[in-house]
Amino acid sequence: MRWHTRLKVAPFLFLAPYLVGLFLFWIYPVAYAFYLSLFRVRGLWETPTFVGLKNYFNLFSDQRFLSALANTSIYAAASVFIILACALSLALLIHHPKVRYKHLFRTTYFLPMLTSGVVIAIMFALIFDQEYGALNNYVMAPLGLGNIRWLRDPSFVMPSIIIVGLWKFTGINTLYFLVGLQNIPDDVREAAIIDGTSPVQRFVYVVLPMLKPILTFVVVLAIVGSFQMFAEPYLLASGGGPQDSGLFMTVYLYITAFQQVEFGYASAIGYTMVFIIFGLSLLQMKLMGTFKEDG
Amino acid sequence: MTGTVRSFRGLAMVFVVLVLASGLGYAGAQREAAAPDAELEIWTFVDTHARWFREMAEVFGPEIAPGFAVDVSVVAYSEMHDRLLVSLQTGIGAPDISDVEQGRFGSFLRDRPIGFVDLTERLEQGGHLDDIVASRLSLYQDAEGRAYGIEHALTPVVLYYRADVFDEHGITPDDLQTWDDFVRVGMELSDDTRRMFALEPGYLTILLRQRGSGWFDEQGRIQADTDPVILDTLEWLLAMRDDYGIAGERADEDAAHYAALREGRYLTQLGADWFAGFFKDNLPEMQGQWRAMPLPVWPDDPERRNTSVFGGTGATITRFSEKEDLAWSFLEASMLSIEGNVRRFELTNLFPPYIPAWDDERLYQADPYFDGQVLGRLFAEVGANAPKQNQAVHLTMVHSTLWPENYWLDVLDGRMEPRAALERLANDVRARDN
Amino acid sequence: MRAWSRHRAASTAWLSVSYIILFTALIVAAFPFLWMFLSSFKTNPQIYRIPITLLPPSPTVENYTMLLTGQHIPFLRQFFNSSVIAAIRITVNLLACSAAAYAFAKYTFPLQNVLFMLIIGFLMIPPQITVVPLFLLMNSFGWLDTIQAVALPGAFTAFGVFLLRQVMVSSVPLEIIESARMDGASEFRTFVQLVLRLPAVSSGMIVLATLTFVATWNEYFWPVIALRSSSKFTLPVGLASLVGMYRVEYGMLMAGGFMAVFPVMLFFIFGRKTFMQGFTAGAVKG
Repeated sequence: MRWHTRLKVAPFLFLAPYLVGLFLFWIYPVAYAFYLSLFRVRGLWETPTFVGLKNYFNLFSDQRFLSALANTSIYAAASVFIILACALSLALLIHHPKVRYKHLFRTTYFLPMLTSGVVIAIMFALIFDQEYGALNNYVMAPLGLGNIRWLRDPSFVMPSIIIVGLWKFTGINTLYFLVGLQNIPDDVREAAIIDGTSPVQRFVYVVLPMLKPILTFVVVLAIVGSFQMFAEPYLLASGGGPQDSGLFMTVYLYITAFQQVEFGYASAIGYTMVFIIFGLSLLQMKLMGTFKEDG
Repeated sequence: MTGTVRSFRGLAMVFVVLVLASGLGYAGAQREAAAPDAELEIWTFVDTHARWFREMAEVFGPEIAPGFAVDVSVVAYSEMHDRLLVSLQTGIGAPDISDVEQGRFGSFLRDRPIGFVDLTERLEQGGHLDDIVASRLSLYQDAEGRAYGIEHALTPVVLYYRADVFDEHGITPDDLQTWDDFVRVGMELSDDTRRMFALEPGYLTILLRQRGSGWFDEQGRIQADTDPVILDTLEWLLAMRDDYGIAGERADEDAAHYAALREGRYLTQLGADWFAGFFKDNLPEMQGQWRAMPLPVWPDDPERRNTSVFGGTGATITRFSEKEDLAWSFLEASMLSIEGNVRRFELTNLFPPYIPAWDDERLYQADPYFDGQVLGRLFAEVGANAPKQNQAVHLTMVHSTLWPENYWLDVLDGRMEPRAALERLANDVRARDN
Repeated sequence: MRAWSRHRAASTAWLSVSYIILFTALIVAAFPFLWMFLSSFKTNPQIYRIPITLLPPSPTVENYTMLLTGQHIPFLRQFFNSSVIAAIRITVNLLACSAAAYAFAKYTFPLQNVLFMLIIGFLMIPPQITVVPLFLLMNSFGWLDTIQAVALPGAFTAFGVFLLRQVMVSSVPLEIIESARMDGASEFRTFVQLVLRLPAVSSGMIVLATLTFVATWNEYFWPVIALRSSSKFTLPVGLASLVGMYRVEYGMLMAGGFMAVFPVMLFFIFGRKTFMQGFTAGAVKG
């Protein structure tokens, strides 16, 4: 009998510390954020006034929010189409049996991911400098491409941040794809080779379908990551950048909450982000047919 | 498996060593602790102010309190103001004394209760009200006339110029009486590698005020699109680059701009008194190459005003300071004394907004950095003609984002016509009021 | 024969192109670090001059002395804060997550699956939406501007529970737990003295510790909100506070950046395998 009670109580004791933390630092804030998003809360001294869904409706006519949404979406699209494409290409190259120094490549590509966003912003501020930056001097000038005001010209702020994203996230995604490639059984590929298919056909009909689970994973990660970008755009574009051309969602949330001290509106921005991330993730899982395959 | 565990032990050891080293290093770097009751925490965003605050604590500390000390943090401009805003909302982490830039001051007046200690009574009792230049005091007053800050600088704007180059070409300040003269001299001296000056967004503000205008009228209403002087001045600035070819564009990073000055690519720089200190801090190797003169006047200006005002910072005591009296004693001793104001000028070139200090001879010493020029004399002379500056709630928005970050760049890069940009800016500000 | 050699030539050409691409990517990945490191030995006039140079013309350690003597920011103090926060976060994270994972892996209790799904569901919620409520919560605790305000909220990760549960399900045999119980060991003792010491479990914990370390050490968003004064800042917050100063020694920023990256790199050298394993742990399942 004692055994029985012991086994019944023990799991809850083991769970207790985690659940207390989870409740205090996750569940409660997530719920409270929704509550706050229904109020106009300007700082701590003003009494909050209930405004219903007005904060959410206001977002649609808020030019800064729309810029932030557009920029974040552009960045997300670039992560999926540019960063992931580069990562997949590198992974395919490294994965080729004849390529040596695999360790060296994997390790070096991985380094940017270990670096703090703040340090990355500091490094790249110097690299992007119009006159004294490495990019204009070492890359653009030899190629005969003009002197670009990377972080000051509204049409180049997003490309700059995408370059930073490319630098930071290509490596880790290469590793993800390598894991996926290693999981493709050799006999599948060999069978395809015997069938006499071209490398392109093999990639499209054999490799890509086998990579689908990992592709779903990295795409979701890339989208979620885009909406969480903060330090790099915030520091590189000093807030929103010229004409808010580098304003990201999380940056706008921060500015709203901790510069303008509008806690209610900031919470509404946060919740909108959650809805968008969920929507996009579901949509792309559906597009990629994950549910059909696994379910 | 054991490999992982072993390497983990290595990691853990490295970590412990790092923690200990940094902890010990920090403890070792700590000077003998001040009496906690007599230590004031001070925030500023200017290096030169920090230096002065520290020195003032040494000079006046003994007479203020036994064991008096200050802990001054220098944090970047926007970050410091953002932090202060939140700290004054929550009461957490607020310093005892904080510098607040005049352009940012308006945004702090929105909160109720106001986050700063009302200094009016103390200023009155100490008989200081008439000692501070009135237009500098009003920058830190609310609508009811309560004063929350004490200004550091008179901020008269002068034209800093490359004395060595001017001398070489036999040009003296007398040759630059008006802006037309400036253009003429500029065309003489400018070539592909060297221009008269680098356009920066603040120049419009400076020149507007010189012409008796400003972004806001006396009632605090935006007049960017209603006062024709503003459009005229903006077009004049652009013409310097496009029609006369005597102006370049300021680099985005401060360090890059100083590099351009160092390389001799620009011959003049419009700046207030505080910019003299920035020269010394950022371009120490150019000692003796710069001097300063009054601003050229506008040909159509009957008053022939040869200066403007730009910037300025006030010291405040925050509402959450538990050492309000101590903080006041320190501010009174340093900011409202001849000695403090003179020392500040000597250290940072901020010309005192504190009238009793103006008679002190030490303000009028030859400055070796500026080729032996008596800068104080110049500041005092042009300071008498300084224009008034209108405070407005939305000043911050115009000064720190709308103009420099948005419309200025649009105009400069030719994406927008000057008139359209000013109209858009004015409408953005008006939209805030609705 | 000719076809064969043509094939070989094509494949050598292909291989050369591959190497060119791979090594270019390698240089691109490494260059910013090199640039930062070399610039940390330059003065402002040396960084800002034409033509720019890779190597410092006359290397100076002034930037490092400026940092270490705390002339602009209390760098060592901030380094120490970062270390303490990382240590607390790792400890709490390992203890709380391993215990919870153990409950999910080796016990059955009502609502077990619902609870687990709930926890995994939290993996999907971006932490940004919690910062405003957390800020208010920390304010009401009087915890703003303290080390625990930064260390604790990120310490209860859903990923930790997920990862360790995986490990425990697959590599902790029920029999050894049963036999420990038969020997009269308490549930808690069994967990601490037996389960946590299994090599597979401790490797899993090390992977989790590594991930937590990197995430905590580099974190900026929450610390910049929770910390208010420079003596409490973590390294990233302290370094970021120098960006946009009126007088900024870029070399000093570079030196600070390098010293902030250095511990992570050191850890990486010691435990490269663990790192790679940890970072791809999520991807294995797909």
